[in-house]
Amino acid sequence: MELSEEDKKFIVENFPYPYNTPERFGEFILPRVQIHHGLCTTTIATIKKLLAPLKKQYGYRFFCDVDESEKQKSPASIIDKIRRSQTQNAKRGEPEPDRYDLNNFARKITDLARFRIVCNFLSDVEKVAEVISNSTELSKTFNIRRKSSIILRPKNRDSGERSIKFTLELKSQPGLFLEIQVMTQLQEAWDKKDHFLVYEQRRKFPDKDEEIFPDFLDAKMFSTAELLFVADDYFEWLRKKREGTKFDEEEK
Amino acid sequence: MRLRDENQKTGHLLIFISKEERANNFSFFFPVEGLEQFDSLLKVIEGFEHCFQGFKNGYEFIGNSVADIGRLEEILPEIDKSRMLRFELEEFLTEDSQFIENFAKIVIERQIKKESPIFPSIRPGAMATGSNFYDRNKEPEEIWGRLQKGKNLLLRAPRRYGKSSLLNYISENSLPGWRVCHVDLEGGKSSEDFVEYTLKGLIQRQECNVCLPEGLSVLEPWKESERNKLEIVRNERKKIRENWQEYAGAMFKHIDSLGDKLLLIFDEVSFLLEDMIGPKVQDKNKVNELLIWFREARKKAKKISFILSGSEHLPSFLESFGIEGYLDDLETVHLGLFESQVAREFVFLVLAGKKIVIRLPEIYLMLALMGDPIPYFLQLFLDILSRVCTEKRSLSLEQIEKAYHQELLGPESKRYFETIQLQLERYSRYGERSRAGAESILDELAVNESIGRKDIEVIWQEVTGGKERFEVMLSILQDDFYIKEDKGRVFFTSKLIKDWWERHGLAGKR
Repeated sequence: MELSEEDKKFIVENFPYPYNTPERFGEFILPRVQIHHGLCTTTIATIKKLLAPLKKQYGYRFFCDVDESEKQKSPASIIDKIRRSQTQNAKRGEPEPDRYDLNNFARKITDLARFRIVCNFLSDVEKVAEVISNSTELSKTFNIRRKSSIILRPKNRDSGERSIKFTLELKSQPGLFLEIQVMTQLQEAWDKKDHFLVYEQRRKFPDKDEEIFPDFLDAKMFSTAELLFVADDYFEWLRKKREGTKFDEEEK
Repeated sequence: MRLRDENQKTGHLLIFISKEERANNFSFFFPVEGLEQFDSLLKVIEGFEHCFQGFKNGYEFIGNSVADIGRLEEILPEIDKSRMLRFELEEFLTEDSQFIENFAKIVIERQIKKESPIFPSIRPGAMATGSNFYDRNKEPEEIWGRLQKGKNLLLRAPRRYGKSSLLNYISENSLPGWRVCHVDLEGGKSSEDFVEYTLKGLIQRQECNVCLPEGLSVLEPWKESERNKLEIVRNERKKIRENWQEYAGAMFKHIDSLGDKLLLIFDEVSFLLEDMIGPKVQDKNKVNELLIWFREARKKAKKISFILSGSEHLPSFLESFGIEGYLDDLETVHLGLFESQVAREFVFLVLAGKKIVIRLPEIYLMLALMGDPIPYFLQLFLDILSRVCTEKRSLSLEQIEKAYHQELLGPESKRYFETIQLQLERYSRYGERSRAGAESILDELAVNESIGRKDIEVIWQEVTGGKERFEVMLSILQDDFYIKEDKGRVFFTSKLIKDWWERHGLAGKR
């Protein structure tokens, strides 16, 4: 992720010397997020163990995998998040959004470390989410919050993104967060395209939103997500047909 | 100690990326099994980060979670996989979870220096070359410093301390404006041999071709096969035998007329001189003659510097034969053993290279079993442990101890100690009963922690029938059997040799 002009300005104005340059600001950020990375690694290893029985059970087809990319926020994307939090206003009726700064970001941003579990079918997403929710090993270590955007009603969503997100807070070190996203391959495909086509552009040119993203483009991105959800739903129906008896068991 | 788990694919990657050139990067992969290792992983990350402070001007340090190391090229294509080392967290943590900074520093340093191979190999008895030449950084610097000041040197150390490896390193890493010739005198038995071996050394190296007598340098013998080289030396032998002093004098004079300086390294001088001295008086005179001539040659030489290498006991050995003062112009350099910290690092590195995880208590046990970490014997022990651990997959402290007693000191390792027997045979030259006297001293030392010097002398007298040669034999035993005298007490510094002698050398009264 590249630094935008605003990010660069933010770095020069806010970072302590000698880290107040686009070349060196990372040296300030990285040591503060090493712990998140460590937490991410050990949690991935635990989740892989937890998912092993399911993967074995569904070994005859692709079931799920931990996505290798985007596990950790880059220093540039952390700056972006801090900077944007400082200019964000509360929407009517909602609490004031979190305001991050260089002192609190490591203990407030909940997705400094994150990873994604990509599943084949919609029901696989649910199975993986159940394993995470029901794991005593995880609940012993973390306070876990689960939030699903897979079947949100259209009026409740402001993006095409669909996933089950877990925010894990380490009990022994409150304020140390990790995010796990569980989604289907199609949902991930949409998210990756959205990241490149929309998210990155909006970030780079925040003042040109209307120009670059007129409503009809947003609508297209949004409806593509809906389309892929329909595809996922249809694939799910086909899977149940194919897997025969399992269909009945799962329907119950 | 146990074999590293090479199957675990999820883990943490600590990456060092050169700020100048991102393609110049290296990394350490730590497989992780789950949340129960979070605290350990954190300690290791923090520890490496702390070590990184020493390199932060040249490198960036990044930590990265890796779900499947097999897919590293896909997710982190810029990582140089050939410079990624796999370790386990335990390898850098003490039993009470303290980070072992020295181990981390040494692997970072070796990565930065691009040592190849990164891990020293196990090569007992072989010359330690390249990155296997371990932790002798100060010595070459010191030696070159003294040589540049015009000093000639006498390098002294007990057997198996790594003198030859050090001299080899010096000859392979010379300073600009210097030629180096490494002459191995082992096997030589006369002054003529001394000259012939010098010639043999000179014809090995291209850079020394100009140092050869005119008729030889045109042949460019360094290009020839070993067989042809021997033939060339054989052809010169007659001239050398006719008048070795004249031949060597002319050769040194010629070298002195050249532009660059020549460093002549004479390795195993002790062997040559000891083999020259026999029971006959004329043999002693021949040693005198060689040493007097050689001292004069050193005085005259303007463009030649000399390093003579031999055992610690060389001067006292010569004194015992009434040969004194001919090496006084040489500055002595003593080669010591690895510091205990260095020995621990060496053990860790060697076994890491064998994909074996060793913990500090196991390293301490190894070193305690051996006593002084004499490089040759340390390598032998590592070789055995690595083999046994690979067979059994893991070794407990008890099994390490068992490997020491049953394998290292066992009959299968006997061949590695043959040189000890050979040394004993050489002792006969100091008198008919000298060997028996030495063996009786070793017998007593092997079954006692230490013995008073006077008691040792009594043992010698009882066996040999007199006091003659006691002093020289004691100093020879210090070199060959690693015994030491401190505050009037004599003892083995190598517990391994003590144990070995107790098991294999003891043969009752002699």
